[in-house]
Amino acid sequence: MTNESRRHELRNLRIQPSTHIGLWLDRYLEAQTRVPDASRFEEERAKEARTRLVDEVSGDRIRVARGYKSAFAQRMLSLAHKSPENHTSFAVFRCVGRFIVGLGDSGVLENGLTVERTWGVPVLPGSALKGLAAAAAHKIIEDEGWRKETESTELGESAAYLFGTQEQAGRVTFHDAWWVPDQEEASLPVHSDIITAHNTPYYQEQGKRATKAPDGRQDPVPVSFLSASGSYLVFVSSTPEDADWAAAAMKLLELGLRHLGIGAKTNAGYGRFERDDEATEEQHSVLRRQEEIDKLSSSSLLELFTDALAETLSSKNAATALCDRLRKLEKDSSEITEATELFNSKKFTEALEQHPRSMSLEDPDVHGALTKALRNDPTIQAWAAGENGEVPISRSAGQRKAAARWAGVTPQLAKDLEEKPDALLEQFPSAESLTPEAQQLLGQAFDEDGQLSLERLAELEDQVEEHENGAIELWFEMMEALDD
Amino acid sequence: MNKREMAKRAHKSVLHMANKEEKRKLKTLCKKTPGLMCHSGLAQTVVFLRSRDRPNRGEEHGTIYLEQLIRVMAREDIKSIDQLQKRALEVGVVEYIALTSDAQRAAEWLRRFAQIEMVDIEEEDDRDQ
Repeated sequence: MTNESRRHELRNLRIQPSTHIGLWLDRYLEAQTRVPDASRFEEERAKEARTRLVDEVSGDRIRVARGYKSAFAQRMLSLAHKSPENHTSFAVFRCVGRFIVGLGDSGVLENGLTVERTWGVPVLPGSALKGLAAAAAHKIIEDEGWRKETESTELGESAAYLFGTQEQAGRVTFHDAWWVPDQEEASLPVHSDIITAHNTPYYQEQGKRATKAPDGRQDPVPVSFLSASGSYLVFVSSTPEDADWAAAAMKLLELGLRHLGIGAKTNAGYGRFERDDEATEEQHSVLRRQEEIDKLSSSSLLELFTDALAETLSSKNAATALCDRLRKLEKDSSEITEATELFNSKKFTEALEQHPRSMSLEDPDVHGALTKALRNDPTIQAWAAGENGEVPISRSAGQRKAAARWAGVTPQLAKDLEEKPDALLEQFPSAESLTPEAQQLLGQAFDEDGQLSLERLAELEDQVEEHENGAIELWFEMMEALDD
Repeated sequence: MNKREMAKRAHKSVLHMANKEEKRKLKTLCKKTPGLMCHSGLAQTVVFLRSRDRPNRGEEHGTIYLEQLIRVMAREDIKSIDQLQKRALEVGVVEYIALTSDAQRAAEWLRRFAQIEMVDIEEEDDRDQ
């Protein structure tokens, strides 16, 4: 008898970094245990399947879906949107340690974790937050008005107003608290945890007549489950008249999250949160920025947009025009020198740096033309032929990189093209503190081979005196170096 | 499939279960299974329910429930739990969808009648201790 539980068609499916962990946990358990007459081997296999399922979704393996960050921002903006009917208060809470919410949800894993339905990230459900706020009010606040209805206490007025009763809805809405993503495509803050039950037979027989004393000789049974960490954006909203109540709810949440803990295993220290003022301020500033944008009149917004668009278009057109020109030159091979010149031009480099995409690198025509042009460059030819040729430093970094990328040259050449050290800085590191003009001036003291020349240095003396103090000092230092 | 006949069979099944020793656990299963099926799919649900049995303690509520579910479904090709499990794991997508929707309809009837006929029975949490 098999205790396979994944459908045959799906058996070979493997988890991907982009997998939705909620779906994976619900549907992709491979095998289950305790089918009547299951063999020892099958039981082991089923146990492993469960542990594996937990391991698969935890420990930095799963990335949050692309777009979650913007969905998060969008949700925050719409929830916090101020209107005559809506007042919102929010704060970021950071989990101290770990928490588990939804451990008891029905599902085949039996120890689940609540995740956001669409995005598959851990959330603190609004219902859990409301329950926590009510518990905090009941247990922590002294005023009788906050008691909840129990055998020994009557429902307090404030509690009834804020949380509602069977007859009357509560005045404050508790929204689900979404996980605050620290970066685009961050890994999910989900961890695999383990709890080991000792003395299982004793606990199973509790309530009946226990026959086995908990003597510590029974098999310990490790049970894996999932827990989560991270920061969460907690939202409560109300009507503007009830703004004070929303603030009170927030305060209750702060108390509850700090002292009582949310979710399961709070007695074991899970589920504690602290308010993160810095992160809260960050979310507030996002909101303020959006409000500023909202305040701009549509005409001024349009103006900003048009300016930005025009700038982009003009530089893109220039880049495209250069590309077309290069393509035409390539067609007529006699003009190859002109293509080389075009490639070496500053204009081309600038366009290249600004608009790498519009240069259509994938276009084989352009690519071929560039390669040919570059190969015809006498300096590169010389270098490639191993004739001690040097690539002039005047070539800009962009050009050198482009050359390395397109010319199809050897990795060594590519490296040399990219990194051509300045002789002055190499031999006199203290030159770095000088102004660029002074550096350029002193750089003239070196000959083509990078050797310091007494003749050239002597010529520079008068000009160096015009520069600041550091320059003349370095000049003396260079003189001394020559004497050595 | 005739709705009324399915309902009739479900009613009979629930009465049968209400007389069993494990009626408390059976009530829980009746109420929870439709949701679980929707959440986790038919194949997983069937295997999960079977795994709930504790034959050594004389608890076979998973098996009893599944037997009744099969009776309510009354499909020609499925006469036993083994057959149901085998079909659920092996059929193609289209047939799986049809099978799931059949099972779900049957499970929903069981839930409805359980809410009526088993109203006095106290539920038991089926979760592992």
